[in-house]
Amino acid sequence: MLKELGDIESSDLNIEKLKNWKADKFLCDLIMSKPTTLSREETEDWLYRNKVDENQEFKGLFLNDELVGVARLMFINKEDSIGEIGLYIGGENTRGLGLGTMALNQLEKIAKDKWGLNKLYARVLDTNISSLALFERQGYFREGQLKSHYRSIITSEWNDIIYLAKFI
Amino acid sequence: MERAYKVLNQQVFEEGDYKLVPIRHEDRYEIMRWRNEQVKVLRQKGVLTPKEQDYYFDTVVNDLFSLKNPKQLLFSFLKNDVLIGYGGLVHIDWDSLNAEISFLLDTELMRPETYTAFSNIYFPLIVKVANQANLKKVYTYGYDLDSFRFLPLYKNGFELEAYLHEHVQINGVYKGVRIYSFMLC
Repeated sequence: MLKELGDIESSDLNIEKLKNWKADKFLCDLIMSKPTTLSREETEDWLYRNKVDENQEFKGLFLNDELVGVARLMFINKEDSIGEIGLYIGGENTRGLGLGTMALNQLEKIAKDKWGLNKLYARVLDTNISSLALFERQGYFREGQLKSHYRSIITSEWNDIIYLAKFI
Repeated sequence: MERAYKVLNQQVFEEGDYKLVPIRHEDRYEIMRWRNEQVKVLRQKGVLTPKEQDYYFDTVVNDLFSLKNPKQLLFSFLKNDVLIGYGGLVHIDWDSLNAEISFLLDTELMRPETYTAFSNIYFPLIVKVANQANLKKVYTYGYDLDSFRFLPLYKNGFELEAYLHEHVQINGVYKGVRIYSFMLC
């Protein structure tokens, strides 16, 4: 089983997956993003803009060469030496395979070796138990909890946002 | 020319000699001067020029008054009708009904005793604005510098929700970031 981070090519299959994930309200709710319905061209444009963003490291999660998720270092601030981690796995039957662990390890390496960052952080919903467990297993510690800070688009209930961080 | 935010039924918020009024165009250069004087403690890259400030006010700020749900509600903060500061609600999330409070005082007033006094007027007023806008929560995001900047928050019922360690560099030294919040009724 080959698990790796890599650049996302604009193949029909990849674009279709990204398009679907961006419209998936359950996935979007988990990562606190608004679901959007994009055309193929708009999705390609979105992919391109993220790839060329100077303050971001935008990667795909691949399982046996198949795109199954997105992993990114966002809002990279070179002056403050910090970056935010964004991570989601959209592929079916891909949970519990160590993809998240692999992605975090790779992102941390990129953050340190390529960007010279000192600290990584993430914002995770208190209901996203598997993500919280992943980050805490990887040595991230809690820096705070913003209560009732995000209203779910699925349930309309307010959830807390947990701030997690790691010095690398 | 007085301007009005569509989302608010009330535009002016007063307490004694103090008031918040929708940000005035004529205040833009004074605001620019304060922002440039205090650039080290703001999330601002470099100093602003008059041209950049004009552009910001002519586009971003002007647009706020035509939107039903703007991303910001900015106010000029006056004492006896003289500008002493500015701020408002920024990064407004109309889905989750929360917003960040921004607040900047005239640099000359940034001493502990005056900052404390003016903050104790400002924060209750901005909470009134948030209530008018039917928001559920407001919060502040500030660098962990002098304690006098945070004491008024405690006095006005805010709670510390997060402390982001070594999250920003100021003059070559890592500082934390404090996030305080207030839940509205």
